[in-house]
Amino acid sequence: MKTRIIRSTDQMEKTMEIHTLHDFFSHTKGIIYILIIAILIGMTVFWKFLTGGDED
Amino acid sequence: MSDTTAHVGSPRYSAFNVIAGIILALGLVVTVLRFSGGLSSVTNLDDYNPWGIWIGFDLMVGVALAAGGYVTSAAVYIFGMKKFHSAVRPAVLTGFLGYTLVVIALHYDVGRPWRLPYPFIMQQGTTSLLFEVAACVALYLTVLFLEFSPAALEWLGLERARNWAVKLTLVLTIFGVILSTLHQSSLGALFLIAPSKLHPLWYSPFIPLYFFVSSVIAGLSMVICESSMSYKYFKDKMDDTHMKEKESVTLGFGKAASLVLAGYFVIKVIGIASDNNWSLLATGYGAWYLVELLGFVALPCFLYAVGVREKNITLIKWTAAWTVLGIVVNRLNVSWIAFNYHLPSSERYFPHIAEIVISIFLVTVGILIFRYIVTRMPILYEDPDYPQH
Amino acid sequence: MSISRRQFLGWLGAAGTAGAGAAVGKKAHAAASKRFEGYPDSDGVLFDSTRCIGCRKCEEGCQKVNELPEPDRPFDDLTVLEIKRRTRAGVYTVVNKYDTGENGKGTVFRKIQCNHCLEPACASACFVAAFTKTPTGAVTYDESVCVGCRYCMIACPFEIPTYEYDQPLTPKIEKCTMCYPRITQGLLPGCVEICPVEALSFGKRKDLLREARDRIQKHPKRYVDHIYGEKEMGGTNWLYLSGVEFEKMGMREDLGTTSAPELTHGALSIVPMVVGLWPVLLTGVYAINKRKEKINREEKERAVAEALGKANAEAQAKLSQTMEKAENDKKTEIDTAVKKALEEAAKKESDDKETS
Ligand code: SF4
Ligand code: SF4
Ligand code: SF4
Repeated sequence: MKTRIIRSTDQMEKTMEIHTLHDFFSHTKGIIYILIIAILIGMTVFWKFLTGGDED
Repeated sequence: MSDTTAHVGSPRYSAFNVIAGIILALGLVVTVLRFSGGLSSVTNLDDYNPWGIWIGFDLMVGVALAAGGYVTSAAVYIFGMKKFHSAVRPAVLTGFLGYTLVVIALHYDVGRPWRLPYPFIMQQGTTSLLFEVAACVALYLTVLFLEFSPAALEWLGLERARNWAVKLTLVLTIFGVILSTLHQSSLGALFLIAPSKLHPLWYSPFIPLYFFVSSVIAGLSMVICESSMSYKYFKDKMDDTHMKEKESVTLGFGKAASLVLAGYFVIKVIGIASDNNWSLLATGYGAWYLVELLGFVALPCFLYAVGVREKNITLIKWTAAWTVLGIVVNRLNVSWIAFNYHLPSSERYFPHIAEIVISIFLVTVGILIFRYIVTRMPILYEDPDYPQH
Repeated sequence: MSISRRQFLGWLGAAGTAGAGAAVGKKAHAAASKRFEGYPDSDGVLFDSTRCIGCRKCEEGCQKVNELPEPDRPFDDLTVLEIKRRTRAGVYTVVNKYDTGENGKGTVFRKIQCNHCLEPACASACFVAAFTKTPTGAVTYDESVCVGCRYCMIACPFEIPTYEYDQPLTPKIEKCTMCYPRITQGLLPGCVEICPVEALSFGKRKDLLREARDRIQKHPKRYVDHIYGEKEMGGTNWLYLSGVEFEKMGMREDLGTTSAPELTHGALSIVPMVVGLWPVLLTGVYAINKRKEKINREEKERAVAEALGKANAEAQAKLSQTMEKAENDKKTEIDTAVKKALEEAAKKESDDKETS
């Protein structure tokens, strides 16, 4: 019984490391979603900049 | 004009009002039941069949049929088909109402509707395709609202705000296309996670692509249908430009729909080949699949082509209605008919009458709001104070 | 300089890791170079259907430890085994009876509950991340964020999660938690603890796999050579041994080994690509059309100008013609006038002559 408790705590320390594909994807997709928002804003600004030189 | 005033009082028109009234009353009753007795009191949903027609029809079909908004505004503002300009506003309005109704339907279906923003404000389930759908639908609803706003602002006479909204047209159109591409396809991709539940003829790694391409077909066909319906009931609201462009819109969109249907047919067949599902075509589900593929894809593709060649507007209109029906069939196939195909029939789902009531109720609400808006706002005509371009 | 190149590279690496670490907060490995095998020391349960006697004690244990509602029929009423049952609201686990018709193996029982997948489809599907694959192996559910969309139920290949359809405003998903609160305290799951014949054994998944292989090897006649849950849908923490084909116990053997995240990540990874490329494509098309329009307009203008020019020239020509004509006319006029004058003069002369 006692050994089990100890084991679960040292597992807790290791949770920072990614062990499942699911966690890996929720991690990467999270970053990607943030990037997407940045892309959408950035693209709009960039388009303005790019076409800023056109006369019409 | 005098023609319609007579029309409003005519028995057919009031018959519509009476039926609409009955449907609204029934809908309200079911609404009360749903929010007092839970889903089990008004639906046939169970643990094997968590999604019924509120998802399969109201969400899946609703979103597909509301695709006219992005398809038309992309055609006009991005692909430069200026001659379809008069079709943009009705299509955007239909799209906006469609998405609004989808979101309302979701409030009936999910357990705790007030938590619908939770995926954005509480915890992001970024691995879920539903998260993607939810994000895109929420954003696209905003985009549609902004795209629609000039008409409302013209009506309200708020010139400054209207001009500001019009300036956003291009950005909004592009955002609309991006968001639509994403969530139209992701609605199909929702089923990628359940290969063991969806019949292999409908389950395909290409299902997101199928949903996207067929949404374009749905959008084009809906614009044709919607334009002929509007002509029938709101003729007096149409201005000369709209009348003049109406025919070219029908022909042009019919041609486009025929072409996209041809492409859709091809990728569907390639899908069968790549999964080697030929032998399944000989089964019962296979026969039904062939009905969908030949009857609702190949046939309208051909009929559209004939209609366009012969400039047969009536044929194109009926083909459009048939194609829309085909989209309904396809979405219901994926979400209901071919879903849980492995279960014995006693464990399969069939909608409860109250579920159907709510679906009809929401469609009716949509038609009524559409009528309210087109009879007041500059949708089918240009406001003389605000000429377009 | 005392900084060697190697040291510099070392610092670079350290800075890189620190930077990445600070930015992303987690130690993640590149997907290509790393295979995810699940939490290495996660727990599981091995169910041996050849030992199960269908006593429903595990159902009872589950109900007790999880404080679930009382059953419709008491747990010692074994006639319920005659009907096919499944998990439902208030019932995390059920035992079903199957008549296999196989010689000597006849009737078998199967306990049904959440399999605690290594890559849970429910967790992958939930758009508020209400499910967690814990390091213990248990997949837990957080009611406080659940919207009630029921996509997790669509996703679960084992048809486990259930929903409180009769709750109008506060329905939640329910499923077995592998007794997460108990196992973190070092206790056994309720069902495992109560099982009178050790049809259920609890332990680390890797130990259970070894044990299962052992049993198959020692009794090849007793077991089919398959550990259900070792690979199904990417593997599960709940494992099964059986004497008959699993299909005969209502367990699907056509699920494949592809896990839920693998099934969906293709479609998900297209999302950012569309966001990145569509604007380029669409504004490109827009720009092309605008340019085409501009060229059209210019061409039209040129054509108009040319037409105007031509018209001008013609007008000029006409003018000069008229002028010429006018001049000629004038000339003739003058001529005529002169002639007339001369004639008149002549006439006058002759008249004068006549009068004089
Ligand atoms: S069996 Fe179903 S509910 Fe349990 S972890 Fe796997 S996917 Fe989730
Ligand atoms: S029902 Fe709840 S737990 Fe299941 S996917 Fe929806 S939000 Fe997540
Ligand atoms: S308690 Fe054990 S033997 Fe009894 S039904 Fe459950 S698993 Fe089978």
